[in-house]
Amino acid sequence: MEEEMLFERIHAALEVQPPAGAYERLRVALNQRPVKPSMRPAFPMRWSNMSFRMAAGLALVALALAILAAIFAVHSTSNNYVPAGRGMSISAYQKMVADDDAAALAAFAGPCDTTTHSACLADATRGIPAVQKWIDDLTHAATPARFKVVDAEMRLHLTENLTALHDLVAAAQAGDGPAIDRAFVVAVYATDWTNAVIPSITSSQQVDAAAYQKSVQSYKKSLDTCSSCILVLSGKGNDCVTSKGIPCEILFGQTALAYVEFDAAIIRKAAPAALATKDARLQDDLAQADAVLLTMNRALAANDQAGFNAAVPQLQRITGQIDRDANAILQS
Amino acid sequence: MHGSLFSHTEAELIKAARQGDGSAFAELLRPQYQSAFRVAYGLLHDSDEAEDAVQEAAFKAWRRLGNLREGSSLRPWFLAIVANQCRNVGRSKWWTVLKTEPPESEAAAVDVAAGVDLRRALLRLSYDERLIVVLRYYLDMPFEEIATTLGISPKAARNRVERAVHRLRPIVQIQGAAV
Repeated sequence: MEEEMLFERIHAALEVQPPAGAYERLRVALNQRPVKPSMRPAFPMRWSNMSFRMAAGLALVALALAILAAIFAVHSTSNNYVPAGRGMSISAYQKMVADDDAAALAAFAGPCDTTTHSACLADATRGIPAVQKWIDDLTHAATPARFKVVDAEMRLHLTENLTALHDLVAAAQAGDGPAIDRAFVVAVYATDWTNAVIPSITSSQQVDAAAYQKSVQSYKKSLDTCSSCILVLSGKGNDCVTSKGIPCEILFGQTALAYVEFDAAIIRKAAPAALATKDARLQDDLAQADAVLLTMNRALAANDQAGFNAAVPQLQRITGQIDRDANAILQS
Repeated sequence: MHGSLFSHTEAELIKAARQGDGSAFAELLRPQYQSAFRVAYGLLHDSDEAEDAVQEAAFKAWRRLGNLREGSSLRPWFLAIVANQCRNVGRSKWWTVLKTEPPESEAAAVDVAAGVDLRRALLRLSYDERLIVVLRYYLDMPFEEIATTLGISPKAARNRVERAVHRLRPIVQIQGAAV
């Protein structure tokens, strides 16, 4: 690849100017929140016995307050649950998902990749209980109607993630490099999916018809113009698992992202009641596409070209349905 | 410190900033702001997050100004702090959602798709690979300056750039095949 071409393409892809007034905002902030730069050694002060005792006392008080806050937090979290059948409010569901997502994120110190197995192993070991708790919470929650479809998708991805994390730990303990890579591909996909969709769930709001249609139009266009999707759906990428020409990691990742972004968009800007039926159809079809993409990712992880190819006609068919669903919404 | 800041040398500004002068530190960062924003945007792909990251990095840099060795250049030191700030912001974002406006026309749609795909490809690189691609091909840095920023040798910088380009190569093939 020519250096010149890379310079041009990366400049074209990333070319952006700082937002208007950005430097000025920084200058104002620096003036409003003055800091005293630390000089080495960091804490040159000497402590008297009295001030040391006072500091120790304050630290104990702070520790006691932190423990009380933790007890309160655990208690208030457990109060978020509403027994199944009574339904859960949208905000309580959003909070539960946000908390579980934050706990799972905290377990992962990534980014890790296939060349840093030890970091991934540490992440996986910490991640297992967090993902398990997330699944348990979803199982016990009475999901609000708005999130029924995406909730089912989320459980699939979390279950896939949990299995992959267990596989990753087992493979790492056995020193099985190829198995580590396989588990890694599955785990990353599941994590990527939640990273893309969870912010939409937690910020989901019902919008009016015009705003919903604009969102559908925008992400439909994004799906239509996704060059990797075109390659996958046309069959041109169908030797990517085994071929060294176009690695599926990139081709598939971009294809899946285009569908997931669409899925996330209609959750973030939830349809008004007047479009609920058509929205449900679109959500169902995007969920079907998501299930096929999961199958393709499993095939990719297992280096199974035939399995990957077998899923393509299904994705083609569902993409046609998604297109019709979106057009029906846009023509309303 | 007010007024004729432009006449102050970098050393004078550093001295004033070490004494807690915010205007002096802001003035020190002025020539670096565009580069810092580009590094942050290249790593985070979001203008608002990039602006926030540069601002946070500026405060961290100010607190650590005592660590800047006399005679060393501010630019690589500050860009390294920005890059570290972005690493924290981007933690666990293996697959960041890209925000794109709908294209205006069919022809533009192809260009936008190509640009978006390259950005998506960048996001699938590891953080360190993305950083080195941004420094080299977006900030047009020579290997020596990349080396200073990352605290590695120029030879190691060249090797890392080559490895990142190797990982990025397939996506350019994908674009060529699709459009």
